[in-house]
Amino acid sequence: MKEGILFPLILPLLMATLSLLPRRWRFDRELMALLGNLAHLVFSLLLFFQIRAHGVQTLQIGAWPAPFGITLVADLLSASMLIITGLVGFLITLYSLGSLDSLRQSFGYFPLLHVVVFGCSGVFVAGDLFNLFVWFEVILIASFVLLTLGGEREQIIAGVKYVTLNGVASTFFLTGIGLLYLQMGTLNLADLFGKLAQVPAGGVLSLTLLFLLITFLIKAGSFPFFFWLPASYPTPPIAVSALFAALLTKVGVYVLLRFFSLVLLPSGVVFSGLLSWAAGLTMVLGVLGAWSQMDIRRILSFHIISQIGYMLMGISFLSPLALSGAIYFMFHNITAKTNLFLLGGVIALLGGSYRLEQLGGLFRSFGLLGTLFLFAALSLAGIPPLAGFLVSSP
Amino acid sequence: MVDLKRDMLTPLLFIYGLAFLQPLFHPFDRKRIGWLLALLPFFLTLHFIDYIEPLAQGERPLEFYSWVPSMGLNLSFFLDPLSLLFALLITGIGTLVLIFSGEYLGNEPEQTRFFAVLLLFMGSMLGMILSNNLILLFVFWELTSFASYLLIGYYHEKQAAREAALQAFVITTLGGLALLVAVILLGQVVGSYELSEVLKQKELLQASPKYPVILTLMVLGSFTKSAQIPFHFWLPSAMQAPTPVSAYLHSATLVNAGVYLLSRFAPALGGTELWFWFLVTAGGGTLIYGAWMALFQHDLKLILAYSTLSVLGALFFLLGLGGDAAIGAMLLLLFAHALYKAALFLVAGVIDHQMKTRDLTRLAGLAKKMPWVAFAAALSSLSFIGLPPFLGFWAKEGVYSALLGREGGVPLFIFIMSANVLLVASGLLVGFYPFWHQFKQHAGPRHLRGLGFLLGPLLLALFGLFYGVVESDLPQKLFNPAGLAMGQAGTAVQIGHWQGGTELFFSALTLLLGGCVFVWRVNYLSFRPHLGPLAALTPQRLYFTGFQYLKRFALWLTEHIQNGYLRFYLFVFFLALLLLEGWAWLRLSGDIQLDLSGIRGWDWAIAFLIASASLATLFVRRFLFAILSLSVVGVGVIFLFALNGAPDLACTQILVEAQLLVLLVLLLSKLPRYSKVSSFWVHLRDGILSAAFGGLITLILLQAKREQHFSSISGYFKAHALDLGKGANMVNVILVDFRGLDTLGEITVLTVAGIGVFSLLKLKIK
Repeated sequence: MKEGILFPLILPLLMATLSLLPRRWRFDRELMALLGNLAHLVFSLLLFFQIRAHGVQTLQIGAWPAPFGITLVADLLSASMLIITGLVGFLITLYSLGSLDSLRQSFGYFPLLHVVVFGCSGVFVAGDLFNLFVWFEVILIASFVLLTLGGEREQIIAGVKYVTLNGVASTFFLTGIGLLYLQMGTLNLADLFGKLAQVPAGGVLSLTLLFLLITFLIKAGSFPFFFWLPASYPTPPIAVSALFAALLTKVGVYVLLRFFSLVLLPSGVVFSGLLSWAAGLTMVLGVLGAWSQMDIRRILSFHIISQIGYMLMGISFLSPLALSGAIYFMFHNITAKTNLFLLGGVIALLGGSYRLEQLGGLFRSFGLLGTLFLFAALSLAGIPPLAGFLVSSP
Repeated sequence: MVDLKRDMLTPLLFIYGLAFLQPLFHPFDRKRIGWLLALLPFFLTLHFIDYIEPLAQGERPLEFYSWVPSMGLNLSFFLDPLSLLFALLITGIGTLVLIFSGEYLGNEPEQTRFFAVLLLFMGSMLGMILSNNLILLFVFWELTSFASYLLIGYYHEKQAAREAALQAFVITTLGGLALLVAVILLGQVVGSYELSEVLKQKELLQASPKYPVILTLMVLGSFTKSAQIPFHFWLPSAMQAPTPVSAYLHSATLVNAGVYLLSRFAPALGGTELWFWFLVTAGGGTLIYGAWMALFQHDLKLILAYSTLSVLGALFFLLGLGGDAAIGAMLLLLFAHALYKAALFLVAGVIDHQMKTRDLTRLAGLAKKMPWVAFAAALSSLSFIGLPPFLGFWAKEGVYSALLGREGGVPLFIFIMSANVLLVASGLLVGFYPFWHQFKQHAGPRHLRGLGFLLGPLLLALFGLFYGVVESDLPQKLFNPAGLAMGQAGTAVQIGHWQGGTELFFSALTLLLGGCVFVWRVNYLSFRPHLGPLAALTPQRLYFTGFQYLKRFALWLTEHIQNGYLRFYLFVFFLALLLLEGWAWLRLSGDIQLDLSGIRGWDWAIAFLIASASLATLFVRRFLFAILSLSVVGVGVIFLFALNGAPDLACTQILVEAQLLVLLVLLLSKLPRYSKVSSFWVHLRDGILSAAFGGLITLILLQAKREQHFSSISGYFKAHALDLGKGANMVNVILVDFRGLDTLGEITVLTVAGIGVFSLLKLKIK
């Protein structure tokens, strides 16, 4: 079935729309969110097996031929990202049901959650640069509203920084897209892949591609563009932070992976040295940042940055082993980091604070919680035989 | 007869399984849980004893499962006499320590956690010495560091325990990192991560230009793990751990991991000049340092910890010397030391548990209160000081004869003998002083109950006596094969054969001098040497100061980078883009030919209008003027659209601009006073940045127009808007049909923005 690729897009959009209807015209919003995300997970799994059996799936929206219409493409990497998106969506919905205040729940939390999933799913199947831009905008606006939902002072301050910096990123992106279209006459990624190979390396094309690279580095939270991340992640309710931690920066990393393999490599302009430097500094500054903090959410936020550095380093090596390492690390990081944020929420609930100096003795009363946190944290630290270790080796 | 094929992974799985399942046993019998858990290592000890015979005959069992073959990581195990020696120590002492721990911890509520981690350690340590794969070895190596971290920090509500744990972890994982790199380099040089392959490649490895790096990293890993100078300081701090842990990890097994690693690699990496100097200097230094420091401690556990350092130093020293005699002496010393030191630690544990103190100045006359403990302590201590016929004596004889039989070994001999003199005093201090010395007792001792307390120290002590007295085939069956496995022609390990008179004479002299030092020390028990200003230079201090400064630096850096000012963040964004683009231009693009011919007159005029209106925005002093000048910028953009063939966009832009203007003017009365927040220089800086940015975009755009490689796909839209898209307005057809999905996305954006505005207005959570 060729349309299988559409389900991960249609489902969250449908759920978001339905959740916005007045109460008497719809089902229970919480139930819809749970089932919708579960269905997203199931359809992503089906897509995964479909790709395994029949190869890469593509779909031309409205049957307009490529490169004129919009192409959606899903390979195994896209499908895996979709699966993990569905899983994260489902688990975070579940967590939100227990942890999020009912006011936020009734003011559009669930539709927004669906739209974030919608946007991320879009990124993972986008086969066209402009379409990718649109998905970025969808994610940006939905995450911005989620970030400020509730209107607490801290949230608004964080929201302004978040949306401004990401808005600048959108400007860079659009500039790059415009310039690229001017020179190549197309934005379809497969088409670009073919055409870039025919163009001599260098020239103003490399400057254009640098615009796009910088955009994706901003989105991924790399040095020197990571400011938006620690500024925003610690402020919203922890379920929202966990959702951001799971998906937002990884969307950037995913796009970087695609960008390197589909655009930079064929064009012959490979900024891998630049990327290694950015990656190295991101690692170090992230971990120093994490070390200097005392608030669990801020520690984890900086820690995300550091680990983005590892993923970027993997991408910059451009060898198959390093790339698979980066991808593996990305999946591992999504699960482990989300887990830590969620557990952080539980800790704050039990201990009454996110600040380490005000917490203590939790192990005595909640041993299992401590053990869980330990496992996730160790996995992040790369202690064998938890998954993180396999990643650090190549 | 044992099945030699599949007998290495199974014990590990059993131990790990028990670690996870043992919480289930606690509810049934909390008191005897130690005995129950000890059954497993006990049977494993018997299991490994079964191997002694076949291994001595040259069998080398292998076990192999593929795990992550693309990374060279396999579950590959092997057993040879060297690993067997360690395996016996791990399981044998492990059995006794488990029994002891059950008694020691009593009914502590957190003992489940203790046993889980202790078993985790046992499994990992065993896994490490059984690994035939370098990466697997590293995995287990790290797991032992981690288990040690958890065990040192067992009393996690004590800050000192947490700090000691972290310190040990930081030091040992740094070494672990070095080991990982060494392992990867080894794999690159040899082309295989299988240990048995790597060990065959002595010539290849030693000829490789990477050899010094590999050796240095490997030695770094070993020294951190086995607490050699300058990484020694974590071991005394690690005495924060419960005493059974100190007995097991920090004297008998974990700290020997580094010795194991270098012994294992001795056939491939050893025998070079570099090897000799590394091991002999660090080992020798630690040997004398540990012996010296041990003498001046009050705390029983600290005396033991420093003397352990000293013996570990001796092991590396002998390993560095190499040769049959030295290696044989090393193996025997390792074995004897593990026995008597574990016993003495357990004795210290009993004393601590019963008397609530380990301070020598407060302990006395314990022989009466706990005669069996005193007996065990005396036996172990005699082995420690090397009195014949204890195992420790034969070890010392071996060391002496190895050195005396060596060309130019006399200075080394004098050196090692002076360290031994000091150690003799420490041994007497631990094993005899608190038991036989009399003075008025402060705290009344509690009655000692429990065979669990006695079994460990007594058995270990008796082993030390038994194997020293009884003519056993231990040297032929265990030590000589182990020496063979380390690439020696055979070891000259002698138990029960009196060597020449010289060694015996020096042994007696050592004892005599040691006794004198002991007597002197007892009379000045409160004396402690001071390092004076040198104290600031000890590695311990350096570690702490370094740690503090690094942390302060991290905080400083983070506060300056993530400083909370959006304007700074934006500045960095644009500056970074500008610098990177500039760099790329210089590097990649070659010469720039500025071609302004395509710009028409009105373009210049509009550009001028936009630029001056933007500039004006910066310098006006009222909101109204700022809004108006921004509108002028908008009008300029409208003209640009209109004049460049985009009437639709121009119309849209007119609507947007008009709406924005009306809204802003309406809000004018609500806005705060127009205040100036930044100085002229900041304005100037930002102005230059903006101008440079605008200039850059202009330049790139002009250049890009000249480098159009392909014609645009828009021809298709023009051709088919009407016939396929059924619409006369091409832009509309693109929006709703050709690229309808994009529009759907933008509609979603607008809807979400609507939710955002609504919730911002209606929902306020304070």
